[in-house]
Amino acid sequence: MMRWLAEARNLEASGSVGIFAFLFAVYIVLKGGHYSLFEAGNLATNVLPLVLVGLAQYFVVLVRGVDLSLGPIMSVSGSLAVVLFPFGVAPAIAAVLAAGLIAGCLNGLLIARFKLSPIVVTLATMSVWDGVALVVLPVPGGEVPAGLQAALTSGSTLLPTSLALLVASGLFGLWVMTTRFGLQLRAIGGDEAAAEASGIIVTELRLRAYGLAGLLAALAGVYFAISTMAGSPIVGDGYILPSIGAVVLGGVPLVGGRGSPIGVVMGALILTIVGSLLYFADLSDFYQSLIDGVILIAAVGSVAVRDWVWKAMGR
Amino acid sequence: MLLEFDSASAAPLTGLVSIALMLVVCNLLAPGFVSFNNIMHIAQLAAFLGIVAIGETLVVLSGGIDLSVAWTMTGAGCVFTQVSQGQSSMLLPALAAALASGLCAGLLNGVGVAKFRISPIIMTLGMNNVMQGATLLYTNGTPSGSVAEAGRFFATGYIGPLSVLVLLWSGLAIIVMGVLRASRGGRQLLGVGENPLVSFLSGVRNDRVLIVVYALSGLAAALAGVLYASYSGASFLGMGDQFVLPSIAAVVIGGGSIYGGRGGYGGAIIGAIFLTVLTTLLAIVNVSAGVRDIIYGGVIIAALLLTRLTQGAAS
Amino acid sequence: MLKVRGIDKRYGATHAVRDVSFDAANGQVLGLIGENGAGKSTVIRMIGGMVAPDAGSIHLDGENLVLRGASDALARGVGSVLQELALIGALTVTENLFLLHAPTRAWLSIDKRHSIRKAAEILARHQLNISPTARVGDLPLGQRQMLEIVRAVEGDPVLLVLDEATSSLGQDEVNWLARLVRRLRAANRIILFISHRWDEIVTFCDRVAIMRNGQLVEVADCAAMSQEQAVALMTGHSEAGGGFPRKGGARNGVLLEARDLEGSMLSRVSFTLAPGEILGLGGLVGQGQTELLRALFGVPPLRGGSIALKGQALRLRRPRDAIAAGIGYVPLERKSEGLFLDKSVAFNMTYACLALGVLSVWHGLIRFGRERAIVSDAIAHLKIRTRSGRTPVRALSGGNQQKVLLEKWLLTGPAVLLLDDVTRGVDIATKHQIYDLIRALAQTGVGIIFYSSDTNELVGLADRVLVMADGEIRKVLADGEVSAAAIVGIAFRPRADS
Repeated sequence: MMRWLAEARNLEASGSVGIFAFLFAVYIVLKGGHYSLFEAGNLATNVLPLVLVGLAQYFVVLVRGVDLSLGPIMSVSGSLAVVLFPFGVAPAIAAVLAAGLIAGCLNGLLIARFKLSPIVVTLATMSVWDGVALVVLPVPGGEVPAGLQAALTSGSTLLPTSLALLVASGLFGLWVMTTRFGLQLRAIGGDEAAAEASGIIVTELRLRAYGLAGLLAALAGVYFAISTMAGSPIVGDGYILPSIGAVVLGGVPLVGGRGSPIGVVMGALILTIVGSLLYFADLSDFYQSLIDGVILIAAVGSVAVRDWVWKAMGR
Repeated sequence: MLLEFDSASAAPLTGLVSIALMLVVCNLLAPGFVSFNNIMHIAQLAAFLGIVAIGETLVVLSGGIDLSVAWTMTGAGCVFTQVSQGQSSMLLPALAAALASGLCAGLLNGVGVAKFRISPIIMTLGMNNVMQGATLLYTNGTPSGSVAEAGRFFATGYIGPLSVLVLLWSGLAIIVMGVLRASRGGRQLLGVGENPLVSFLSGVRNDRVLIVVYALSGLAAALAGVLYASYSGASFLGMGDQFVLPSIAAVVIGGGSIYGGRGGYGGAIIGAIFLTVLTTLLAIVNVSAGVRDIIYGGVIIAALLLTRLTQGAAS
Repeated sequence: MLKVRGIDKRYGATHAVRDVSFDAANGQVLGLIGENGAGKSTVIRMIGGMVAPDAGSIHLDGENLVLRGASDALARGVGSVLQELALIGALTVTENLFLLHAPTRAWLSIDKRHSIRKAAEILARHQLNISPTARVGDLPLGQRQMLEIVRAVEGDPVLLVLDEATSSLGQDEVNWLARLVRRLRAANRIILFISHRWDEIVTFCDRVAIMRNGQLVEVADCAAMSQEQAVALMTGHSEAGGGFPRKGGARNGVLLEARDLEGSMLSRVSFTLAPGEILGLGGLVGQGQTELLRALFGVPPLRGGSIALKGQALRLRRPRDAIAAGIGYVPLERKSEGLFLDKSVAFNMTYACLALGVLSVWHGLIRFGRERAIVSDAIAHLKIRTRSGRTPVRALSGGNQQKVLLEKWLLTGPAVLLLDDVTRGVDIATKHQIYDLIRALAQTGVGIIFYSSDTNELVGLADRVLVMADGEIRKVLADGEVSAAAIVGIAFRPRADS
């Protein structure tokens, strides 16, 4: 356990922890200085889908890729889940996760095996999954078994379930990075030619990374549907940019090979907290997407500024 | 002209053949479909995509990508209608304002990519959000205004049997192809896209080339937005969304390399027409929106695979 | 027993490997020597499974070896240490050693402590003084090379291929490698040792195979061959270092003057260059020669000092400034820094002079007729072997690529031309053509500063030589003082104040 936490001792990830802590403190102050476990649970419920999609994007970014179709995969899984729930919760979730895995592997096949560009491929599969979501659930709605929502959000124990799930997601990410799989992903991102020459079968690993991403995105979609008590065929569109934002804010470079999953979790939290802070600033909803865009650009641009400063100082 | 026939020329040929095939199918499903008027109409529809694809071609040739065309286009359309308010006296100022908005977005993209070394995916994705927010704030959520008859002429008018819009597009196409093939700037663009380091060591101002190219892309998207608003008579939110995937797909299907340095606008024209005919065919077949999206995405993936396999065979 | 029969490989117009056959027995070290571009690396890549031969077969211990990549090779017992190191700089020593088969715990996590301990054991066993938790990217090049060799050996290969494995090793480290190779020999492994230096081949190998122009010209016992014979077979000439054009021709006056240059790796560099003079930069590899050339081109801009060309002070902040002032630079790595491999000969040749109006660019438009004329003139004049000006440069041989690159810079009409190891990877015939070209250029008054890793070339071509060490100019060898002995002597001399 301590070893896993040591993994998180990644400088840029620590930066994101600091930023979140600061913003969170501001938020509490604006709220009047009190914050309950219940409210923490609500925050966790809101942020969990983004954390999962962010982690999904993280595994893809580690191998120098990007997946714009994770949002639509989320839409499909949520829509499919509410349609299948009447046939049993467990089979529905299993089917949906399998669908996400397949969607991810499809991306992986086209990108890793056929060596097509990730951007163009995932733009195209975006269209495909958007279409599937519309076919499965033409209008938002569907049924979610009543107890399910309560169980997965607030829960009946002292600790809100959603908070526990949030922590579990972070730990899952850390665990993956301690496995051989995680190490080899970092190797591929660090120096693909050298990784290949060292005997790593890059194609297979890359495919698995995209598959895992699809699975996590599906998980995000299911959770979102359950926690909002409805499915929606377009919900994922609003998660595409934020998934990249969470990764970038977490200190993970887009060229791959580096970065901690904890950073991604923090990145997702930062984006969500900023949304809440906007509410206090009394800014209309119209500002949300604008702010998201500016944050993304600023986060990445700040790296360049930092490099300029270092160069000017003679490093 | 130093034309080089290579594997990249195979793709446009395949595109032309597919277009012909699809038109045959259209005619079978709706007898009498293939008439001069209808073809001109298809060309009109393709013009919007084709104009956006001008910018996308230039940006992709430089080794980047422009994901901000959606809201740059929408934003420009909204500015155009809102400023002109249906009055012909305000057409020119409205046009200037709309084009300026696109130019600004493009310049910011270019500066971000060139000077701040922000990845084009991030920069343009973020700018898309910024333009979305800006447009929402500007229109306060509801686009207003309309386009005077004089303005609509450019999008819907005819000179004899020829559509003004198509003539406009043709004129632009000739200029763009000429610049790419026969000008110093075009050569430098190809160099920057293929190997920025070699280009830099050869004395080319890479930064300047990039900024110009992104600015032109913003300008092209804005022009498309103005024309599309003129065509429809009014602007509506999200009208640019349908152009992102197709504009990039048009470039790649037309034989351009997504990594830059290779391709030309001629291929993108064929790609744009191909995609427009596909959309028309899908409309005739009368499937639901969801199925249409699936098929559209699927066809693009197939086209990408085909392009990849023919390139692989030729090299 | 390794049996190679008739392997052949073409890359476009280049016939890299022609019908090569040889044997290597267990417990034997076979050396492979040849000039740059002779085909050694391609042969190795085919044996190591990185590249598939177009024809022929490779048998190891009776089995036909059809390898599809590194992972296949490792499984079949073939280990390779190539020039491009296969270590991941961002990962630690331990992680690199256990990339594939790290020891894990029950729940699939890698057992870090165990890995580090095992890594430390391996390092100790091979007498490598490297920390198992060090980041590979932070290690000096020599240690990285040794680490990679150790990793390959730990894979327990039946056949070990070492490609220029001593390129970054100091003398102590070379001895370490020699001991390692002897141990492997005793354990009955097969070792292929590639080098372009005869003294190394003699140290390490029992037998040697000599390649020239893609063909295997001779296989013999090392003891039975002398250096002169080997060099003659490698180059096809009876004399190693002949055939340079006549010197002299430097005019009076100062074309370029550099004073107290301070930059990346450079300190207190001062020198002058006369019109028509060929100035050589000598010294051991990596002592700042490339940095000096690049600094004179603005890459990166100098931190201090001054440069004056024809009396005018220059501020060189980027290559564009240098080109505008009349300085051209032919970079070290032609494939990644000099040429657009997928563009045509014509495109490459004209790229640098586009902005200069040399191509008679009229309002930004290219005059194609003029371009065609210039390009075909250049192809004829430089004897570039290509089907036409429209052929992609990738299809040309190394020597012809270099000629295209040179022409690119000649077209900018430079007053000063900077050449960075311009004959590296070029066949002998082309090398001499390039020497003639350089001398002819100098006769027109162009000043040339060139760096070469080949001392003979420096001696043969340069009017004066600046011997560099640690980013400084140790000594200026004037006309008449230039000799191989002098250059090497100064390069190896310790600093006066140390």
